[in-house]
Amino acid sequence: MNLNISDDRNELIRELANVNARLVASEKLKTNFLSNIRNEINNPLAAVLELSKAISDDSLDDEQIKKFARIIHAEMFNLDYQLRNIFFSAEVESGDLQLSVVKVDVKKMIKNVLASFQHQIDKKNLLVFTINNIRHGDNLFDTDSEKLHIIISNLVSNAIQYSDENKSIEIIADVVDGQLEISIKDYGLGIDPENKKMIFDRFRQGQEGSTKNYSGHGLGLSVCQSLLEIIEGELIVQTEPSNGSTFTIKVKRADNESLDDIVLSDNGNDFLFRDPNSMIF
Amino acid sequence: MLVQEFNKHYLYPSSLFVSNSEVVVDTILGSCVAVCLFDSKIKAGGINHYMLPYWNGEGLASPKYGNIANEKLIEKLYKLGATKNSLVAKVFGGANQINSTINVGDRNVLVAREQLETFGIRIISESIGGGVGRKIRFNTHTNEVLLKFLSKKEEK
Repeated sequence: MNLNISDDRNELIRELANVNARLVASEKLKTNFLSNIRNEINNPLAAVLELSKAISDDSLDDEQIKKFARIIHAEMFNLDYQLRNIFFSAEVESGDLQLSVVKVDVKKMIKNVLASFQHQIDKKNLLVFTINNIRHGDNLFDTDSEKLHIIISNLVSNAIQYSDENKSIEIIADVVDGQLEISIKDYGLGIDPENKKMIFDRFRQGQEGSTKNYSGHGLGLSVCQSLLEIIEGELIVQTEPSNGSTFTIKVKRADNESLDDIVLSDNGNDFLFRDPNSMIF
Repeated sequence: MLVQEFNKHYLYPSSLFVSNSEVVVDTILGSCVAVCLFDSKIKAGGINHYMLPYWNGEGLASPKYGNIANEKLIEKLYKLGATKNSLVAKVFGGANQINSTINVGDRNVLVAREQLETFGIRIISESIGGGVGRKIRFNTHTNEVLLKFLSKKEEK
């Protein structure tokens, strides 16, 4: 009997030590993030300042101007995307996020997201297949539009970023049993099984340190995960190293259920906790 | 007859709300816990709604977790000018699902008590534990909380 108690206690102590190590690591990552963010913002800004000055100098031909404008757009698009993730994660962490349900045209949203990433898709010469299995009547889906948009953007951005050149990306959308399902498959390097959980932690990426080949701050998936919790969804990852990954989101239709619809228990069921003579239960 | 119209706010899980004007905040609790804080001097109140006791380093450090939700709530009230001595707390929720062995509800309540004690904030009333969920309505200006128990089926 005593042995069991001490086993339990040792187990708890081990667990505590693990959690503690993770928290220390997470704090360290936050510090790293804050020191890296400077470069991530300054570099694209410096590029845009230079290029826009060159354009306004009047000495460039049309082709060059177009080329510079494209670079400016790509740099700003990326910065905007990174900042959005940073702001969303800050909002999630501060508890300020609100749910705002509207009817979302999912097909159109996927199309818009892809259009916004077109320059990155072209740059890697990727082929994107979109299969829309959503029946006509289900195309307007009740959920939070802004949050769904940032989730899809992050998954598309990851699929592009981790795809090798000339490969394809497959996107399948469907509504099954009133639940929106969108899966995004890439044929990139996949995820090491031991990293499968870690990629959802903030500021973590599959590859880290000064040798990492990919940009970004490791916020995307943790933002997706948190936003999915808010809109009542889940994220499923299927992956094999060197054989690509499929990220699938499943989102419940928001049922516009208001407080008035909930069932309260019957008689004698109002308790007022008023000051100063509150009842203590 | 005059019906007074209040500003209303529905509080979702993992979020929190603070105001120094009069807002009526509704939320629904199962095993989740909501801590209502009120500063009588500046007439400001705030409420959180967390689902799990402690953040373990996974995902974002959001107020889904009690230790973070309580700290953030206290910080936000301090920013409005609240002080430790004039803040009081009410704690609600933490029901336990019958089939759950880990008693998330109980652990959620424990975190609230421990943290409020650490911060030196007195709990003046509470309705916690049990097997059914609760709906609460908190007035940020008067510190009144109206509580109703849900019927068994509606547990969240």
